[in-house]
Amino acid sequence: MLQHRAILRTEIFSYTCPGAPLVEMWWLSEIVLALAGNLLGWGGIVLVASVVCATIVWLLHRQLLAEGNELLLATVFTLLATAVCATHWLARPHLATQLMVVVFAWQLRWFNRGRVTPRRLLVLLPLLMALWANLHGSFIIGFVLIGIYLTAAVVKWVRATAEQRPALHERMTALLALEIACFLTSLLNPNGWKLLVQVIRYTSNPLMMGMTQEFLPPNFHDLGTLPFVIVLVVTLLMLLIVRPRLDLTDKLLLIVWLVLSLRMVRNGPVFALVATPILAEHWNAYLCAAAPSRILRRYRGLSARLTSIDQMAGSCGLPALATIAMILVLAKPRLFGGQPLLTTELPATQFPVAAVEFLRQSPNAVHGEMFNDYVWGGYFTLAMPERKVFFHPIVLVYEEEVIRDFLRANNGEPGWEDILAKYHVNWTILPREHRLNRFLARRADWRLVYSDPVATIYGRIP
Amino acid sequence: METGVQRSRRHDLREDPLNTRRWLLPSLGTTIWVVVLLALCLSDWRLVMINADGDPSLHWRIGQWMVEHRSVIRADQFSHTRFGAPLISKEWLSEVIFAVANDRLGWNGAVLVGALLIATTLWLLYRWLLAEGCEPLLATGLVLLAALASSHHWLARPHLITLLLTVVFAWRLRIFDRNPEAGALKLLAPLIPLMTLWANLHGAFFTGFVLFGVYAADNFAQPKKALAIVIVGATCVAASLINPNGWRLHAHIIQFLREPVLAKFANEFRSPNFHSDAMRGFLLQLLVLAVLLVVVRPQLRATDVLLVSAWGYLAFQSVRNVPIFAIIVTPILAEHWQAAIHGAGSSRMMEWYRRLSTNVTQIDHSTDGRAMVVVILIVLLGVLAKPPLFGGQPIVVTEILPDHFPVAATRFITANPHVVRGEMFNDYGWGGYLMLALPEHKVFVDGRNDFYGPELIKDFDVVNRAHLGWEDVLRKYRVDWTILPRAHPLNELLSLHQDWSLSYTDQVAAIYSRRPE
Repeated sequence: MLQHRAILRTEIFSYTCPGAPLVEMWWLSEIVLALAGNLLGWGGIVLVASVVCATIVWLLHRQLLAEGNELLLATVFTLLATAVCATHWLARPHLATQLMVVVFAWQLRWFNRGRVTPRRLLVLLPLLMALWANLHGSFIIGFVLIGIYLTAAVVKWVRATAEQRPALHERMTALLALEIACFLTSLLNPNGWKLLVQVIRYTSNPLMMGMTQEFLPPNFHDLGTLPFVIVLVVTLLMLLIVRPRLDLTDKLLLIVWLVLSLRMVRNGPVFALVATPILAEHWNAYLCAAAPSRILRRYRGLSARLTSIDQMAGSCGLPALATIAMILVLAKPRLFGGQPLLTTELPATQFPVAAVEFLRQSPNAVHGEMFNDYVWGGYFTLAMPERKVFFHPIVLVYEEEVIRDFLRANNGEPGWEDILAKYHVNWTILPREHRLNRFLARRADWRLVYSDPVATIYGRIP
Repeated sequence: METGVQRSRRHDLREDPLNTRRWLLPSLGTTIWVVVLLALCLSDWRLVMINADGDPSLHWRIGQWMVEHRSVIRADQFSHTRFGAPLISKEWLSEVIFAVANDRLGWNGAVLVGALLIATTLWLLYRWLLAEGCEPLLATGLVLLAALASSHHWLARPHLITLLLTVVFAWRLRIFDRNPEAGALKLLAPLIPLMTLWANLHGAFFTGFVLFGVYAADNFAQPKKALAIVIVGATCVAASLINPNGWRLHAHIIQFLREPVLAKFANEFRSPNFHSDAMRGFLLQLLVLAVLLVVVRPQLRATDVLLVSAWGYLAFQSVRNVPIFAIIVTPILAEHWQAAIHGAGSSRMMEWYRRLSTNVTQIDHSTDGRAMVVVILIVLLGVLAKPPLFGGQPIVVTEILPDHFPVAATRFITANPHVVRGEMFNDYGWGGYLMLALPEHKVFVDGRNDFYGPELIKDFDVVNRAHLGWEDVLRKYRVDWTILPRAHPLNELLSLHQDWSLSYTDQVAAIYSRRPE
């Protein structure tokens, strides 16, 4: 997009659906990441992602403190939410969603409590929604959040007495206006309404969803799920021990996001970000009201000491200094020449770096179209721009037939040879352990072109 | 003062002195039992119960061996990879029961035993809720919810015993926890012989220990009560040692649970997949619990907090714990939803519900239906056992589905025994079926992954996934033929291999044989 100074509108990276119309769901993030990458290499991309991650944590912490929670409790709860979010902290556009969730959840919560005016809400969130819709396809989470607040407001209005109704009516109207405004501003993207259609098409297609790990339910045997389990336990204990009188909106937020996070592992961070202010509020109130015990006295003493230390500290100087220092460290070769201080590269043990280098050195070693590993597809579009891949992780550009063909060939199901022939595949580049390599090794019309501990290349004998 | 129910009963007795209506018309509890039993035995669910995996066949085959040899199995007889190795059967008594039922009634026997266990579990759960003061209408709703949450694991296998005994243990412990004056001896002592039975029927008898542990931990502040629970719990542990393998059974189960390779290999040890339709019931029950906690805000006892947290966590860990969670959480839901309904103000909807509930309660109290249960059981037995009892064609046919299992392929081998020789490599899910259908051949692996151990399961996985070294593994175990699903990747590999040739194929299975050297 930077090279062509245009938004990408057709598929150009794979030969299996050349020229297919492409609705980019994160074009702006890609521009930002590409700029950072072009300037500072992989270090630049990591820097952008780190700044976003740190800002998410900082914003959540600020919110908890601004809501009157004790510093120690706010920090612990922020770290807990951080641990949940960190399982998905990859240098990719979805970080924009985590950031926007914090902002939307904060502003809506404060609007519900009368701390944010309808006017501010109606100006800020639609503008952010316009940005979000261009940064990442999960902007519909914003509609869900507003929808929950709106639903709760409608239910409260129905139940309210005549005296309470005018205030609730005003809130309901503001939320409805906000939902409409956000919907309209989300259309301010290069693809207009087609973007929303694309998101719905993607999230309602089980075949495409099944291709992506993060759309699968959480695996509770996995150690990475532990922070999410801890948040669930803290929530359960709050409901069982603290037994707070939750606002209807908070009830809906907890239940809806709990169900969604059980359905898809990628919703775990959203649940953590939405639930943390609710958890902090009620645990803080519980600890403040609890009868003093030895443990509680120690906790309060520690909390008071930390608060006094924190009040002495400055707020903006250190983060600004750290960011500048990081930029200088990463930009050292470009600014001052010499070797980089910090090297960030794709690990050659996970990606076929050596195999790609071999192909660069020996371009005639293979001819025609490739069959590639799904996870490596993205890497090849970057490392071998002169070659088109069979399949890359942006599955929504592919017809269902292509996805099914890819899966059948990739799994080595009967008919895999016909699929390779159908797409005129003349060479494969797959992980060394891949079973298709074993099939090809037995074929007289294929030969081993290259192999290392990571990747193996087979070529069809002319 | 006479209640409406008593008035109704007195009126019924005046109208019908023999009380035939009461004996014939089923109560709600009886209806649940009858409907579940008939639905499982006569609908297509009976096919699901025996076709979901190969384990029903496996248990029949092992039970059959024990019945034939009139002894408990102690060494493997069915695999060539671990033939003769010491075997600790975790469910020998269930296997004998299933084998006896199947030998008499064919697969209808296993379905009948399974359906009786499931129906009785739900009926007991319903009785438990009523005994705690829950209205029949609410109790029915919550039992159906528990049924929905646990139905994904309604298979004709020994684990159904665990569901039944979990209800019995949890009920007794809950009564004692709330009413210690009733006496530990009277309430908890019957659990001791039941634990002996449980330890011989199914390996998940540890569930009983967990329940004792939770109640003992909660009553830590009341030493007398806690001591009673600990003593009975310890006696139950001792009683569980009365099994053919003694303490080795316990050691075997602990070792199995601590071995991640084995636990991960079995589908039922995986975390629940909330995209799957089978998990809708569990998700719905979680929602009902979540709504209870955030809306009703009940003051839960510490025991209930522990039970919900511990079994909730275990259910999230392994899908096989979901039915146990469903059973444990239902009385807690019933208690607090009942209290919430009682305490709720009057609205049009609440009034309508209360009227309906009162009517249902009155009807329920005036009915019983035990006579009908006996009649239905006799008729059902007659229908399921028609060929052995009266001859002729069966009315209800329950068989292994030929599109799920290699039925035609095994018939081909039986008809052409010389087509294959040497040892086989088989699909994991088909192992139990092959043990039953081809008793003259030994399998590579079957559903008993606890018996096979991590090393062999890893070897199996190498071949099954066609990983590097698959040929070495086949050579190591002297495998000369394979029987695998038609689309299995190994078939593709073997079709390209000059040492192997296709011996048989149909829509379900393919058999490859090693060419003689």
